[in-house]
Amino acid sequence: MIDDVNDDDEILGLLAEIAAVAPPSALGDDVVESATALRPRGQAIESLGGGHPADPVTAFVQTMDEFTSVLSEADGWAVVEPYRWSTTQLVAHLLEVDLYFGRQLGLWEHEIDPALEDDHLGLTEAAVRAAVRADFAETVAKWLEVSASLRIHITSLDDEQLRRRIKFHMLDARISSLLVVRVFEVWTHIEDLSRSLRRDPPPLDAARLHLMTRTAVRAIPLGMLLGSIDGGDRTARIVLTGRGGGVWNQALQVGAEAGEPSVTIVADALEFCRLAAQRIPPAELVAEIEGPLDLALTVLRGASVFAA
Amino acid sequence: MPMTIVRPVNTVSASGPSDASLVARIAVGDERALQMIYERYSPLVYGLSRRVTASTAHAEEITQEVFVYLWQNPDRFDAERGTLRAFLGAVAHRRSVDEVRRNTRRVAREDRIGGDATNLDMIEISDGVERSQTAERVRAAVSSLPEQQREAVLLAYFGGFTFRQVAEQLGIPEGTAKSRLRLGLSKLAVLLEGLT
Repeated sequence: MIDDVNDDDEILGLLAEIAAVAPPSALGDDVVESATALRPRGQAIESLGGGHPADPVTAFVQTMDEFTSVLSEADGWAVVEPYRWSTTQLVAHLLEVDLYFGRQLGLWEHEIDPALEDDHLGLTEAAVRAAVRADFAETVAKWLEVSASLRIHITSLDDEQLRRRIKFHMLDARISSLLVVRVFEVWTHIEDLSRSLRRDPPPLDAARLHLMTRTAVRAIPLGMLLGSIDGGDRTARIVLTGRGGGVWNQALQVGAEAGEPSVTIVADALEFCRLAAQRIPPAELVAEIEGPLDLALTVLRGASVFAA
Repeated sequence: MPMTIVRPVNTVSASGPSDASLVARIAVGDERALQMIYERYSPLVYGLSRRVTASTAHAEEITQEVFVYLWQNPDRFDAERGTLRAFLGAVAHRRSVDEVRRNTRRVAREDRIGGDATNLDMIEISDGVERSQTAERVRAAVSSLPEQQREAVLLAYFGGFTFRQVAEQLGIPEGTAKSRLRLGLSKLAVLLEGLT
C-alpha cells in the first residue's frame, strides 16, 4: 500500500533522475498485465452507475427545465446559434421532435410531411417558423408536458420492448438506441443555448457523458456510410479523455469486427461529442493522432454524424 | 509507433503527448498510455528504487507497484502541483524507504552508523552502486559536494531515510535538510548528466 506522497517532489525528482537505470526488459509487460488485471483496459476510473435507459433523457429534460426556468421572456427572443432560431423556436423544435418520437412509438397521432421525415431540421421547420411569435413560457411548458408523457411511457418499457426497432428519421433503430440520440439532441441544444446566452452550461455527470461518447464512437461506421466516406476495412482506436471518456477499437465499416487499429485518435470526451453533434468541424478538434493523419481526418469526418 | 500531433487550433508539444495527456488517458483505461509512461519513467523509478533498497529484486517489485499505483490512482497526480517525474520519484522513494525499513539488513546498518551521519562513508555508497560501472563517477560526484550537502544526500539517497529522519539525524530543521538536499542533488544532476 502506498500512501499519499508528502515528500518534496522536486528533491525526489532529482533523486530519481540521478539514479536512472533501465529495468529488465520483461518488466514492462508485467506492469501492464498487473495493472489491467486490477482495472481492465478501457474501463475508466470513475463509476458510471446503471439505471433505466430512459434515465439520461429524463435527466437532460430536467436539466433543460431547470435551465429554461431561470430564463426571462427577453431570453426567449434571444438568437441561438447555429440555426439563428430564437430560444422559443429552439424549444419548439425540441417539442416537434418529441411529438414525432411519440408518434413513432405509437403514443399519439401527429401529422408529418412524409417527404421530410428523413430530414431532421426540415421536419420541424414549419413548427419552428410558427413559433416565431409564440410565448416562451407556454412553449417550454408544452414541451415539458410532452416530454413527461414520453418519459412515463418509456420507463414502463421492459428490456424486450426497449429492443423493439422503430423508424426515426432515416434510422431504423432500437428504442433504447434512439433514447441516446435524443440525449445527444437535448444536450446539444442546451450547449447551444448556454453559448448563445453566455451562461455556463449545466454540469454533466459522467454516466450521461459516457453514454454519449460510447454512442458517438459506435456511430462512426454509420456516419461514414451516410457520408459516403470510405475508411476501408480498417479499425480506429478512439481514446476519449476526461469525464465520460473511454477507449474503443472501432471498425470503420458497418457490421465489421474491430481488428488491429490502423490509427489512434486521442481527444477530449466533451469535444468529441461536440464534433459528433456537428458543433465543431473535424479540422478544429484538438486531437493527438497516432498513425496516418489522412485516415484520422477521414474517421473524424465520419464521426460528425448527429444532426441536432 | 511515432506520435503525430494534429494542431488545428491549439498546439500540443511536438515531442509527443504530454505527461498530463498520458495520465488523462490512463484515467479512461488506455493501457498504451501506461506503456508510454513506463517507457519514459521506468529507468527513473527502477534506478531510484534499486539505489535506495540496494536490491534488484525489490527494485523490480517496487517499479511494478509504482506504475500499477498510477494506473489505479491517476487522479492523485496533479500536473499543476508538479511534474510526473517528481510524482513517480516521490512514490518510488516512499515505497523504497518502506522496503528498507522492513529489511533487517537496514536495521544492522542503522546500528552500525549509530545515528551519526558522518559515519555513513564511502563504503556505504559502494554497497548501493558497486555493481554499476559508473560507481566511480558517482562516488567522485558525491565526494565533490560541500560537506553539509553530502551528509544529507548520503542519508536520503543511500541510507533510505525520509527527509524528516535526515533532519533528525543531522539535528537541523526539516526545511534546512530539504534545502541542502535540493542543492546537493541539483549539483549531482549536473555532474552526472548522461549517466544511466
